[in-house]
Amino acid sequence: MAQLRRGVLEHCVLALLEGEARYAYDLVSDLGEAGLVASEGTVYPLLSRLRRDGLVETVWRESVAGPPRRYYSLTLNGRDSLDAFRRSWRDFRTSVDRIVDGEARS
Amino acid sequence: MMTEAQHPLVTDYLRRLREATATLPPTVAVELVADIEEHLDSANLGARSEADVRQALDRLGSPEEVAAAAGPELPPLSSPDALIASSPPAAGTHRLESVALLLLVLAEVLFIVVPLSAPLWVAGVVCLVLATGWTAREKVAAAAFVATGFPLVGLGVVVSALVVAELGACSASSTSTGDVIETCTTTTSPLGVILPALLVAYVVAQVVVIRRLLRSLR
Repeated sequence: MAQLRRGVLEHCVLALLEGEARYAYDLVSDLGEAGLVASEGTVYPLLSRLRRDGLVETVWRESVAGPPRRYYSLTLNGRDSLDAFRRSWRDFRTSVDRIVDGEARS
Repeated sequence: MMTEAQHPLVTDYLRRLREATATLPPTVAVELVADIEEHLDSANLGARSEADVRQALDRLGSPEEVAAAAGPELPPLSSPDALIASSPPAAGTHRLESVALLLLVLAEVLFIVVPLSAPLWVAGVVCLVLATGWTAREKVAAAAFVATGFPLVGLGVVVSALVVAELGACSASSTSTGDVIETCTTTTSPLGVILPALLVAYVVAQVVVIRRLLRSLR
């Protein structure tokens, strides 16, 4: 289950980056608000892993006030991974719902 | 990368984080602490109330929790099926991919024995086309770097040999005793050096691609 949760979280991060590149701080805050992470800090190792696996890339951007910040964006591999996840997740969710709801009714 | 007005609670948190990440690989630890420091800088806590700072640090999670998240890695999730199946994939699942790689590499290594290597290569290409365990991009990489092995290496070695042979000039001369002595001189042209170098570079690239492809199967 831990692996499932981690995998889903990774792909949620990818999905959040799909539209536009973002700063980690905004990404992490969104995930926290969505209730997907108990500790915002644990997202950073996840982001590092995504970067090492080539699913996201970062550029340093000058920020308005203060030192340059990391700006995260999806790589082509990241987009592929996200698309594949969407297909798998849809099927999985449907199957689980069918069984779990079915059992609840009987 | 310390900003001037760092709240003492933040400084303390970062110190505890450094301690908690001491057992991690140095690059991982340094990167994580830098990321967290950047996060806290972005939160602009310098001039906020202590309650706000404590809340921000709570949301971050304890240094131990954060460091633990960077700990021992679960296997990479390049295939969504790996994440959804709670048990590891059955042993035979990626056989076709491994066989494809094996056949193509064998064909390349045994290229000299054409009656053997040619069918091996064809079989390898067929397996590669039929394989489902890789994404389209991975299959293109396999085709570009591994399937081309047999034709390129075979061709490359033959061309190199021809180039070297052509550059050799043999002249026959007879000595006073009536013996014929053949002296051969070979001159090295840039081609004779470049071609083998290209071959080596190509083989290195192949090894890298093959390792990546195998890793993605796990």
